[in-house]
Amino acid sequence: MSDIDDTAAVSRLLSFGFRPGLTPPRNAEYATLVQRCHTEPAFAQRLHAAARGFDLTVVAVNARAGLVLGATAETHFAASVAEHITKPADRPIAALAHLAIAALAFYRPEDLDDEVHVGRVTVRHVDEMVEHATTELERRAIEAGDDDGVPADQPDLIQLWRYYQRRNPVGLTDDDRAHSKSRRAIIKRVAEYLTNNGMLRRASTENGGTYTTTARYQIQVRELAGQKMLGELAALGVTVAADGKPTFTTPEPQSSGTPDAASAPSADPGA
Amino acid sequence: MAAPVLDLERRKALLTSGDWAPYQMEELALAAIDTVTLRMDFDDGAQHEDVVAAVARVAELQMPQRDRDEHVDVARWVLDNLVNVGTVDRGFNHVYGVVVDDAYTSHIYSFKLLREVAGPDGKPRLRASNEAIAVLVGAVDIDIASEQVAADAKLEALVGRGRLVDAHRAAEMALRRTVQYAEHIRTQLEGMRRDIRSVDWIGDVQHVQTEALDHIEERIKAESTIKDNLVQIMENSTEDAAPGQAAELIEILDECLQRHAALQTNLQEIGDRFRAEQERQTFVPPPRRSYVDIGRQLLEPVLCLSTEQAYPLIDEFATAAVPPHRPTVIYLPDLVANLMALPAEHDSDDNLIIDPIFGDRGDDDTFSDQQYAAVESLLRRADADGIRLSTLLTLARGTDMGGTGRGRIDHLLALHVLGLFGAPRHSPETDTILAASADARTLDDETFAGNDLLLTRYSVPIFPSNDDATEADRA
Repeated sequence: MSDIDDTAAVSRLLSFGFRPGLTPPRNAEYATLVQRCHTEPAFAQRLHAAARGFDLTVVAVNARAGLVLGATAETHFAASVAEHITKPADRPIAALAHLAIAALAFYRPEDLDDEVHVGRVTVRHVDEMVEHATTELERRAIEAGDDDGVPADQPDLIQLWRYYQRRNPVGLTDDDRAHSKSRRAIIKRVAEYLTNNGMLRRASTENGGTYTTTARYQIQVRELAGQKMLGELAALGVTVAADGKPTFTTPEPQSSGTPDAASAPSADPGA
Repeated sequence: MAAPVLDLERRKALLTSGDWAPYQMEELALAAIDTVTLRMDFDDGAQHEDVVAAVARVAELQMPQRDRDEHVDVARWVLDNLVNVGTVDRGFNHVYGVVVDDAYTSHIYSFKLLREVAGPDGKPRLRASNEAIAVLVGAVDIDIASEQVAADAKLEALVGRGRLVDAHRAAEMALRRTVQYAEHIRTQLEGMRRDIRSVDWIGDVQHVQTEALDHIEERIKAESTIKDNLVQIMENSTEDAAPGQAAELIEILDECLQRHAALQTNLQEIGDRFRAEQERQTFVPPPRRSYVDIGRQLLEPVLCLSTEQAYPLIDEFATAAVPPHRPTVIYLPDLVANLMALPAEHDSDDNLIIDPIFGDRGDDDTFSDQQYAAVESLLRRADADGIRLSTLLTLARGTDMGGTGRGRIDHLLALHVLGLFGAPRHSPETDTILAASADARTLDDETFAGNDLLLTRYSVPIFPSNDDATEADRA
């Protein structure tokens, strides 16, 4: 096949990657292109090069999830929380909701590893999980006798858990709708956003909204989001596992899996 | 912390909605907190309507001459202010000063009086915070367990001396302490249940469990004794008022006992719960590859950071956890339009689908009745020899329908003829069938293409096989 055709095919695959709702099982052409990535190293290299040109990384080319692309915050393709949450005061809660949804969906680390694991999250349980964490931190703070005030001129110094705790989980409104500033309403908005971007699927409306995870979400959290954040926390000097849990070890470079796994910034927590 | 309650009294004069000055707002606020405190139990809170109703009753006692609607309005206002509706986090801030390194800085202390939490059905319920109970009992930062002992001792002494009026007040206080104690233990239990790996069974859980069980046992014993004393007083009393007061006291004590019993049940289950959680959480096979434990390694540390530090991190997590998308390019006319647009009132569509309101715009008929009539009269020209579509089209274009009609009458005609091609029409009056048929001739027309259909009208054959198609295509 000629160079020009290959370029067209790579671009086609990239364009599929920008449609997160679409998966190879639902599109024969997509499936063929994904298959080519696995069988033709030259094609895969070409794809990586093309993605690099867009300032994107190829996180995975997976038969179930399709082409999973990652964007860094500096690129134009990155979608930050500010884009889907308009009120600045709600943004920390929404960003935390992103993290909490992932934490509940992949409650145990091995869930991230398990290819067939389908995480199930509900708005209520996400809220309750963070609430429990804040309660625990509150207990510790009281035991340590911490001063729980923040300087009046620097409200941003408030600890995140206190910020979260101060919001009511629900609120009564005149028209019986969810109070838009309440925690659960914000979590729901985040879950809907993830759903619209092919990361979650709506399962039912129980417990304020029940969602299941997609393969793409698992890969993106595992290879990109989790590792990146872990590295940044380490850079801030935040040590984990002070409670006697085995300390974190850097994951070995992945031996199996997709041919492009090595390109994911997974083995670099100090970045 | 009583400031929001006192503030109500000051602000009632500023209200323009009516003359609410005669109401004692502090008292109503305390009644609201009291109602919530007494209504909430181990797992559930008080419903808004119940609290409003209770406060409205107190308002009615204060101002019996005002009407019921006003009492409810006042009660709502008090409740809204205690929840602090209208602020982002529905809480209160108190500014206080601290001296750090010889420099005076002011700090904000945030607290809530009434928290809105989700009930079992997901609807909001109210729970009184520790601060609110502190306002109620007039104490801050106290060891609840010992306070409870003190409350009971006081009660016992008062009952012993037969001072039932005071004892009644003390008994109510003891009940509130009981609620506060239950709330305290509940929070501790919940933390443990969720976070099994950080809990030391021997040192932590068993300790709390034993302490709480001992406490409850003592309380139940003490309260039973007081109750027995009371019953004795009731039997021996010669005063008229005493039996009534004693009966009320016994009622309160009964509630204390009930609440203690409920707490005890919860405490006794904790061992089983711990083992169940342990099974679920701890005894799982170790991961094959070590990945990030999002809950413990990311969520918990980040919660301890300040919002200023944490936000960039979690924002980046959120960015990495969603797929990249095409950047929106700003188009200047759009920007101007967006800047000029009125802000949307709600930015969420949570839980509610708004039925769109359709304007009352009648459907405009594509063809007028006149045109239908004209086409019908043209179709009547068809006879047994037939008439060509092209002829009919020429005739149709020749008719003067005026205005909008002329441009479209040929369309209507063509549609009719096409309909007759598919479904011949039987007319009952003349007992004939009108049908269009195709032959080799093609239509030579500037608007339409295809076969030049031949429209014929013929008598019904002997066998009436046309009933299925007669009325099918009228329009």
